[in-house]
Amino acid sequence: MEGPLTGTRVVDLSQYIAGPYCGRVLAGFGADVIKVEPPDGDPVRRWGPFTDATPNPETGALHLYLNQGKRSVTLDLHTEDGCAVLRELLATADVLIESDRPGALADLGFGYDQLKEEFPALLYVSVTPFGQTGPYAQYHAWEITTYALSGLMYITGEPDREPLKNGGYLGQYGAGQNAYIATLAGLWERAASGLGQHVDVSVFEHATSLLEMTDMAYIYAGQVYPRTGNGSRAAWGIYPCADGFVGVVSGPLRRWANVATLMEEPILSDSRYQQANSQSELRDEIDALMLPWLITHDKEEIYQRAQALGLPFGYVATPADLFKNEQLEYREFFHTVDHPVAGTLRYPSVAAHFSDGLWESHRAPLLGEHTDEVVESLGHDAASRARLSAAGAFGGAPSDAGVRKGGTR
Amino acid sequence: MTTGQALPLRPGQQGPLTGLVVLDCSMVWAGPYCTKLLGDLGATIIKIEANRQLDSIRGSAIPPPSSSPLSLYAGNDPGIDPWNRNGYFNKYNRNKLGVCMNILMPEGRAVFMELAAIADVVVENFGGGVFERMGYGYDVIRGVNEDVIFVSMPPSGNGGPEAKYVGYGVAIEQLGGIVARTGYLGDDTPMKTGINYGDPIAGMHTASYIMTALMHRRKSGRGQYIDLSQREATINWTGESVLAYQMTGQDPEWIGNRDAYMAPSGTYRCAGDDAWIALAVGSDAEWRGLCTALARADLLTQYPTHDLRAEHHDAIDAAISAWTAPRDADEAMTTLQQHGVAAGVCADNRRVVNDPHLNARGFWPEVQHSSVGPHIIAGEAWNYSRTPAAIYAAAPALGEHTEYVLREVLGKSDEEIAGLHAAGVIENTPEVILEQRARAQA
Repeated sequence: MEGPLTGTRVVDLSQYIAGPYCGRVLAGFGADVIKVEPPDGDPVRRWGPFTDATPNPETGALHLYLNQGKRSVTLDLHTEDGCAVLRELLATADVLIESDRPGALADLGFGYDQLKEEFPALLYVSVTPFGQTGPYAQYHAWEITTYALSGLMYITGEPDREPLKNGGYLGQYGAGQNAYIATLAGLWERAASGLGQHVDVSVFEHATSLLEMTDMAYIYAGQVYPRTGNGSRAAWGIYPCADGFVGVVSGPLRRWANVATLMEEPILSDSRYQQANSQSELRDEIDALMLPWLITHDKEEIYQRAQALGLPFGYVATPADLFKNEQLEYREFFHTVDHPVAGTLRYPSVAAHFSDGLWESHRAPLLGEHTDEVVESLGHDAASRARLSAAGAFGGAPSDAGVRKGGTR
Repeated sequence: MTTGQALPLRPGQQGPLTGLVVLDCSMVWAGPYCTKLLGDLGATIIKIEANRQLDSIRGSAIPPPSSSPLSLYAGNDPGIDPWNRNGYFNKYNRNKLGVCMNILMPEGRAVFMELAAIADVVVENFGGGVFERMGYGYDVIRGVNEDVIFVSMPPSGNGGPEAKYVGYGVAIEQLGGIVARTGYLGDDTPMKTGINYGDPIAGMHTASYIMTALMHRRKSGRGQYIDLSQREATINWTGESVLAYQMTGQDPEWIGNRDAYMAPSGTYRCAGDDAWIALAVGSDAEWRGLCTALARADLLTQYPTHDLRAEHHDAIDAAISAWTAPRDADEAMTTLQQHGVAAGVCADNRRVVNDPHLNARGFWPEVQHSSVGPHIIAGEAWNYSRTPAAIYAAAPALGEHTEYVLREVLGKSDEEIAGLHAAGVIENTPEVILEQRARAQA
């Protein structure tokens, strides 16, 4: 299928999560994303879990998801020949995505300022924890670091306990999503001007921009915003049920009577409780009236019955629950994808239906799977490829090449 | 087809998307988050509001005296126009033109369709099917603008058994699988995030897909109907957990601030009230750095490998806490970073606003609001070297740009504008305030 980005070539030097997630979305919409990896692979390949509980660079969950639809080329950028091949590849590229410590690629001759003369149309996208400038630019960060500094962590968790990080890698995914938007905006502008530029995307700034309104509470009113755990509003939050947890969301006020109907508890419809709905007063009383019904019903049933009454309930969905939901099934959100080593798995796809149908799901590449075909396409015949290989351009260099330094993500 | 290139730019408006026109019929957080991103990249955003039903994040036109313990009104003062002074609204609607108009009246409908005809993109986030029942479905808009990109973003998408379901961000983050992964180690209840995470995730996905559809339109000449599911957007940010479940058959575990691949990883108390620092050690080199910073060579000898560090996590946590407890969190961060340790202060909102790095990068630009005056506001995650984007204008007061848009964008005459006023189509004061004034006069 011809996708909206078919014909766009992306060289993806990025590692771990944020940059690769941007590349995944580009590939899903048709771009030719060439993932350039060090000879021992993107280090995210070493993070599990793995399909058969055994570490394997081809079967880690993060790698399989984040590198869907890409081609993989291994290059040892500590060899002259490896760098020469990358330069040839960049001559064919519209976009470069990288996530190294600021300055690390410049040490190898691939900084933005070094490339812009030779490749004026190249869109050079850097996705790093703190961006290219500023006092923290050289700081080291993992997910928890930028999450903490952004202020998101301080407002997550119980007030009398330590701030809590969300599970997973939301800061990284968000930065990758922003990098995608920024990349397409850059390509949109380039279509008119013919010129590339440097796009500097920061995980820290992305996460900070997500503070819902607590930054404004300080800016406008000098308020320091605390953590509130799962909240103190009555009939508003996470409650136990028979098979897990549901989200009771009892607004809007005019629907309060439906909460009493749903939970088969007429006392709840008392106007005293309606007034307390979503406030913190009478919370314990209201909880005591709701819990007997909640803990004898399953989450999906509670969700369906509440929604039928116009109540915006949710439930704490585990991955197992997602596969049981009829709406996700109806929209065919999960795509079945085969992989020669990891086998057949169901992958999340794209979060919208497009009238023109724009997305395709493909598998992640094996490490270096496309080195030969990509290098051949650059004009290297078999003899030339053999010479490059012997010189260690694709890995296994005779001297100690080491791992590319930096490793920021 | 759009005439966007002909639209005037406002002072300071710049960025890679200048020339694009987005007609924004969305409210609250998810939709306005999307159009905020596009507006911050230089697109012209025309936000349509109604004086009968204010965007709920403007707050009530007549707020109850103690509606919230944490006031979001500028200077803690709702003033005579509280709907213009709410920080929540003013954060997400900067860089937008505000038009207040009744689009259900025939004359208002006519004006709306004129705007729809010149827009590149139309965004709505009403509940499933509501905008269509108001007479503004994709087919209606396409009737005046064949290659329009039309976005609908209900909680679980249009079509299917849950098409009409209602959802707030607080439920979407649960339904999307984020909450199931979040909780303190050993607890029996999961923990919500600190924000309503489903909304901005949906907003970012929508902006992504609009850009994709624009690139598609450039190639194919065709517009697009985008039917977004907020729940699916959220699942996309936890995609690896869906694969992990198929590999292990296990539900996600709550591990607090620990990490499956890094040890130690956690949050450690520092000197001062509720002061904490977070850090994670992802390699042996970082571990050496940490032990050096702590002057604990014994730990380096004792726990040289990740597996040993994971096994003795509690003991290592105690050693780190002993070092951080008497220290200022910022000083601890500086010292640890000098040793290559990925440490960061758990910043509260005050520290975030004052953060030296964010301020050095110009992340908090100042805007001039018509009711509030000058105030700073959070920027975006990107910087462009050649076509820098800008935050150049504060959020509009209700209807602040109604006349500007009618005159400068649609070329209406003073007479026509006066006619729309007289017909009650355009009105910049909330209806409940008008009624209150009428009662006072009677």
